[in-house]
Amino acid sequence: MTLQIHAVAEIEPSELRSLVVDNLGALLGEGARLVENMPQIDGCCLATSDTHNGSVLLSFDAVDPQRALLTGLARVDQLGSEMAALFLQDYQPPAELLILAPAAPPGLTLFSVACPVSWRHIQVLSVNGEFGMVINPAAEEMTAAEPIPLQRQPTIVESVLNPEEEQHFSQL
Amino acid sequence: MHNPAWRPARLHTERLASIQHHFIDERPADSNTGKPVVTHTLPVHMAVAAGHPANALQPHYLVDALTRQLNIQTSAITEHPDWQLETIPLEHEATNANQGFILVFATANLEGVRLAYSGIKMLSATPSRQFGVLFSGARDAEFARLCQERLASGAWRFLGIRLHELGQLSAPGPNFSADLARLAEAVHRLWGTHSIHNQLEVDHT
Repeated sequence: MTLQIHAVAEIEPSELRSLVVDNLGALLGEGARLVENMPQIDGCCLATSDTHNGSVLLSFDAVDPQRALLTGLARVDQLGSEMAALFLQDYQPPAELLILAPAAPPGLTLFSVACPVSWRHIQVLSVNGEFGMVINPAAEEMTAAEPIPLQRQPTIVESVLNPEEEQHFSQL
Repeated sequence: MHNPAWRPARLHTERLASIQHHFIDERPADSNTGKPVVTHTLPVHMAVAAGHPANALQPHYLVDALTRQLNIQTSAITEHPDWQLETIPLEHEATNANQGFILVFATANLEGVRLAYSGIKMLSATPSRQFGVLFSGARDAEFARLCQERLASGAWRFLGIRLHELGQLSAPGPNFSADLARLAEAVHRLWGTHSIHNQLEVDHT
């Protein structure tokens, strides 16, 4: 049987998302899983890794690494707001941003000094008409810096409201 | 028949009166008459959410405009009133027992309601405190009412506190002067009822 393998230049975001979800274990380690009840975010999915006992926001783009980085940063900002906590039980904002793209995003070196952001090289392939994803190990220079946690301190609201009050003030 | 020259002058005066809140002094000028100045301190808890709309009333503007309005409106009652609105940091609130009436300024959205409730909960550690809640930033009056009701029902249910609802104050516009005057009147009335021990006579020399 001959394998027809070629690189894919264009892939639907939903198909890329499915590929990423299928490869969570390879990306984040055994036990990695999607956060339950998470509202879908365009171009990104939030995953937690049991291996690292923390949450990781994945931002991916099969073609444009810069778009993946900017989208990821915007979503970290969005998910860091208290509004995100209102949608989820036991919600933890992402502790790390992982960019999945075919090249390192411009500016990543600078960002990685201040934020826990890293990059994994991915390449989407078509194998006999089916999509697959090649995941290369993280570059050494991208993981050398000790990241500064993005985790915010509990806000006044989180520390003051009890579960009954949380329930009452979960909606208008 | 009135001299027509009077009419523009009167219109100018009315116009100035209607926009006087735009002319806010850094500090009210000290009267140098030697007469006692009565200082009133009104504590304000700011429950301003991250998403506080840019076109809503901003906290610093509220403080300046309401301070000025209170000084104007109460000058008929007190000869030299000196109102001071003080934003209170949460970590000191539980120990400040001299604050009988507290104004809560909140963003009219869910986060603002939660912040307002959290502040009220912490502040209510000191008994007999009263809270007047003012919202800003609602898309319409109905939404502001929803915010008021959610906060009021929670405060009553969990803390046993009846809130004084002060409604919504929009960003400066055509009705701002009248709305600000109504707010100042309500605040003054509530403050007078609940914070009479909060007055301090100071001699300015």
